[in-house]
Amino acid sequence: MKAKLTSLDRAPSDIDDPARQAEFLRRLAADYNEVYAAGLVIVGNRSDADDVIQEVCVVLWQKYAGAQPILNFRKWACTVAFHVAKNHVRKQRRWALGLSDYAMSRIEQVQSGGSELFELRRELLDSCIEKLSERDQRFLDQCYRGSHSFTDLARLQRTSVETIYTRLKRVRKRLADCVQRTLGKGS
Amino acid sequence: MFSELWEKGRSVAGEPTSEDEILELADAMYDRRIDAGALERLEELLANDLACLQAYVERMNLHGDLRRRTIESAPLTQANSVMDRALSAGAARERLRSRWWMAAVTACSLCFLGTMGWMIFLKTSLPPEVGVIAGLTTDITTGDQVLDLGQVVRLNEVFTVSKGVASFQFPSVMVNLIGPAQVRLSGPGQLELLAGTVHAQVRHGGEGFTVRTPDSVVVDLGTEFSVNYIPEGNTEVHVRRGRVQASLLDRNGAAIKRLDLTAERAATFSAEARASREVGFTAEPFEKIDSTRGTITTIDGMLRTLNEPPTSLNFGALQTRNHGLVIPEQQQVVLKQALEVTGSRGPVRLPAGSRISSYLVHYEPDNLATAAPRGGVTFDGRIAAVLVNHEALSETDQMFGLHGLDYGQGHSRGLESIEDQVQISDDRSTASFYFVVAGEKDVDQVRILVLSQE
Repeated sequence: MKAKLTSLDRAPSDIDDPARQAEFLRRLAADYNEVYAAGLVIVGNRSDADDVIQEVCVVLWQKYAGAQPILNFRKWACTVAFHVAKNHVRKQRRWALGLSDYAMSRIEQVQSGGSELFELRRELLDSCIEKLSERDQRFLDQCYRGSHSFTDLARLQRTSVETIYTRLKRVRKRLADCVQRTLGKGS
Repeated sequence: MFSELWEKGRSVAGEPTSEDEILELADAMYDRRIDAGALERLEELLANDLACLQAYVERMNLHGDLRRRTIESAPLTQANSVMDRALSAGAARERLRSRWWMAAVTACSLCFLGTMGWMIFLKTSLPPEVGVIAGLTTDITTGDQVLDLGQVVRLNEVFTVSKGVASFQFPSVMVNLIGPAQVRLSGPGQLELLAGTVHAQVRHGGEGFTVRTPDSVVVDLGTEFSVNYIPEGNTEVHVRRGRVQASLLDRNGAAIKRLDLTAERAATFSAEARASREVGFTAEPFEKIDSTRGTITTIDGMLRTLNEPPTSLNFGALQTRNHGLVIPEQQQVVLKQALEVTGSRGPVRLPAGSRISSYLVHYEPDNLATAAPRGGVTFDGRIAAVLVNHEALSETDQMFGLHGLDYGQGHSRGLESIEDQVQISDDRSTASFYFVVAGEKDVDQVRILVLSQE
């Protein structure tokens, strides 16, 4: 942990305890992928998910520092992530499109119930990405890194945005099919 | 946007399966390309199709995994980085929140002070005064607007008279608004006639006084004139004395033709037809003003004029309750021989050739009268004599009284009570009155003889 954690809204007793901070970070890192996924499935897009995950981390630390020992960190952290993400969508809905409370609730149920399966798919994804050509891997990296918008990307590649979307759709399908196929072989 | 593309794609590729559809919708959602129609379809599939719900969540997890792979490799580093950013952002947010509160409090204070300042400014910086209301006929009707004698009128005020005549005194200019009419006081020495008729008497020093309508601009060059404007119609200008310069305007208000009108000439102007032409002069609006005001410049206090000349001043015929009436009688009477009358301060000799305009002040309270009227009237001329006793009034009815008006016989007319008072100003242009309400009701009358300027 590079920066020292500081009190934000509350001042729980363990908030300045370095050992407690290290423990929290270790546990968060272990379940970080699931926590991120919990936020993303609710908000539905990268930029909102990045915002939400930061807020989730702060809330988690505040609660963790002042709470009784957390037995099931993943479940607890994902519950917090769902809650923060849903509130984020509700606020966003005032001026932007967002899923309904009903849809978010159903998505939360599926995400919570399938965490092990999603973990497995995540592991398979790595090998599927390696099967892509270097060019496609680089393209995927550019698309998901977020340093360029699709419009900028199209300009850089001297092509249209629609061409970018079409190519991305094809790569995504290949990856999804690969994961599904590998999962089928395994099972 | 996305729903259109999706429809386009479907028409080419044929009917997609629900799973294909949900994956496209999920991708559109992640790429922020989804629109309201597509979101509605997504909601529908998520609500009604478990397989679609499962596919959507799987696809979002795929996006999440791809996203995380591009940022950092180790989850601990990712968590560390996010925590750093989150806590920095949180602290910054705290600072921002505190600054925001300070800014909000400051803004509220400034807003409050600004509002108070603006209210004080509005209270203390009214539009400039341009004149006063100098006369109102007894039948004046203005709708919601309250008009009062002596009331200061200001720039850009709009006055509407449904019935009767309201007189405005501007510097060297008397304007009579003859109801139904509406004007806006658009500037010092100018007004905008929105509808109806205005009559203007311009004395020396008031030249340049301007009346504007959508059809024309009338600039006075030292005269007496009237302007009548009928909205959606035309504008008529009649000149009784002197000269005016009248310009025809186009729809944009630019002058396109100019006419000089001299005494007893008239012209009509139409912006719509882009035409102007001379028409026959009519004295009607001027005679109406003569009968209402004569050469009165201002009236104040509880005195009024009549819109139409009365027919009888017999006892009980024209009761006035709490105000006195000023009735213009014969105007511009040239004495063929010298005349001696009994004024309020003794005999007054009027030499032959004198040009006299006469005014009768009449007060007959009814049983409900409660207040003794006070007031003053100022003339555009010098007061030669004020006749206050019964005999002096009766002797001069024939010479100065209105023809056809029954002045009545057998009742006292003059100021009988010693408490009734008449004062004449040092410059002899203003006569002030105070009539008492006596127990025994009678008629108080005073005749004022004014030497005309011409």
